[in-house]
Amino acid sequence: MPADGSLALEASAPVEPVRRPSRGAGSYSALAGFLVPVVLGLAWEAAVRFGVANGRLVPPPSVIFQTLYELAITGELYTHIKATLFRVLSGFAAGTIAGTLIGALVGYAQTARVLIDPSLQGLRAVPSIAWVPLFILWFGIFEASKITLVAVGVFFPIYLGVLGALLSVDRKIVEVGRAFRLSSFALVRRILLPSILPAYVVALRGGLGLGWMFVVAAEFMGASEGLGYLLVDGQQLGKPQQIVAAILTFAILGQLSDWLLSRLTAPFLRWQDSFVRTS
Amino acid sequence: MLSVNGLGKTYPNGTVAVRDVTLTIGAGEIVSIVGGSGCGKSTLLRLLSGLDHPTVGTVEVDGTQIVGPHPAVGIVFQEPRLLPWLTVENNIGFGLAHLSRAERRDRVHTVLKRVGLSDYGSRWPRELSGGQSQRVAIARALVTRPSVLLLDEPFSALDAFTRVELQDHLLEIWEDTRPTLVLVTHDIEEAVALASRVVVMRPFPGRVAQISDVTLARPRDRLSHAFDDEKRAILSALDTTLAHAGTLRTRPAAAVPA
Repeated sequence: MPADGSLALEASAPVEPVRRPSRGAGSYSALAGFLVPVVLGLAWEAAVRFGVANGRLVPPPSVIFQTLYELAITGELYTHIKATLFRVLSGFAAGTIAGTLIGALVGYAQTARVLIDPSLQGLRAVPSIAWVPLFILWFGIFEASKITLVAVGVFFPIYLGVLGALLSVDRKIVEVGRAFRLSSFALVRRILLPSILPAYVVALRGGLGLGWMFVVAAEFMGASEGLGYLLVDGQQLGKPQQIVAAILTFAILGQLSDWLLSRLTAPFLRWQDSFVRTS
Repeated sequence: MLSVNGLGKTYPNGTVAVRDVTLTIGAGEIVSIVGGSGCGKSTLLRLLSGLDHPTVGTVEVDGTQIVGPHPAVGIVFQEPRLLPWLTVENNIGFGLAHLSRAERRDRVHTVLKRVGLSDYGSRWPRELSGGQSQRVAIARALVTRPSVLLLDEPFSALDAFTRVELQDHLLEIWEDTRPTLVLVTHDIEEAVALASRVVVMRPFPGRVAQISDVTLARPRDRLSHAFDDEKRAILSALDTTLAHAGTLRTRPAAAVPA
């Protein structure tokens, strides 16, 4: 018997998918965000040009962009970005893999939680920079120690994110899996993994952000290239414009990588019924 | 056939949720289990489903003892419990992972049509109303073609209008293949409208107080006197079961100072 009378009420008029109010003010407010820095920059530029300030320690925008341009055309900027990016991405990858696997184990297995979690929580309380001397002793002064430091920084938010998400998976949803007699493996793949995905993406973004923080610390401990090296070099040679140029590059790369990550993960989260749609 | 023999469940904290329930439910029968909160009706259903394990007694479906979730037993919960990351189609096909893609699609589409949601296959659960979600949940349980379908207060979260509509709809679906339905509810009208037998449970500890046959012919007219009489009979059975809980009744009254 087809859908008739008793069903007609709900079935006859397919409801349009809920449309979120489009952020009509979006493009406008994105531009508005530039207003304050641009005005401040122009004001400072003018102040230096007209001799109100000398701009030695706080270089005006034109000098900063000039520096960036010079670094770019000599290919120097590219070398530094490549070095830093390599450290961030390797450290992020290592920290993500470790954080995910250990977080999953600790979240899934009670025994692991009792045995491992307290130690990790203890280690988490150590300011990560405190590891630097030890890492240098262990891994030397080259790439390995830097990547390890970044990985440690990335590890904790991801570990905590995965663990917390697993612990808060809805028992009722897990029960649906049990009712359909899923094996442990299928339960993980078909119920637990998708359940924690939104929290996992947040953890990944947090981890990546910390990765960028830690790479600076790592490069401070002695590097011959990298954006962190540009910072130290700028300080030692008294070139504030180089420091600000490196900071700007950090800001742009950090934003860019975060945007990329959220773009790449967005297709997996289309189902989310969240308060605000993230693009 | 579903047979329940001397079933009991005591929780680790000592609460006796269900004690000594013995029931035989024929194939294709619709049985409602009614009772106040805490009478163990939901626990009983969970024991039937194999999601919980009894302390004593057994549950058998067609001669096979239930020791865990069983392919011949489907369950619909109080909440739809749809997986938010799957479309309606994939939610319904969730229990059909062992079938080929084409076969799964066929089965899913047939059931979707049956519950009147043909156009909704590619929707996300968040885009459905409460009634639609519960239909999808019923479809998900039916698509594996269980011989016993357990329903735990499936319509209690819906508005009165949608509830009646879904009750009638459930009956229509039941007519197709006549699975055994065991429906836990606290809505006496629902019990009388659907069931051929109504099991009234009594709390502290949860046990069967009375089993009454509903002899009304189908389709049942909810406005008829006969329907009203059946409702009243069960209501009075419930009332006596409450009175039997004795202490519960008198204690609050005594606590109120004159």
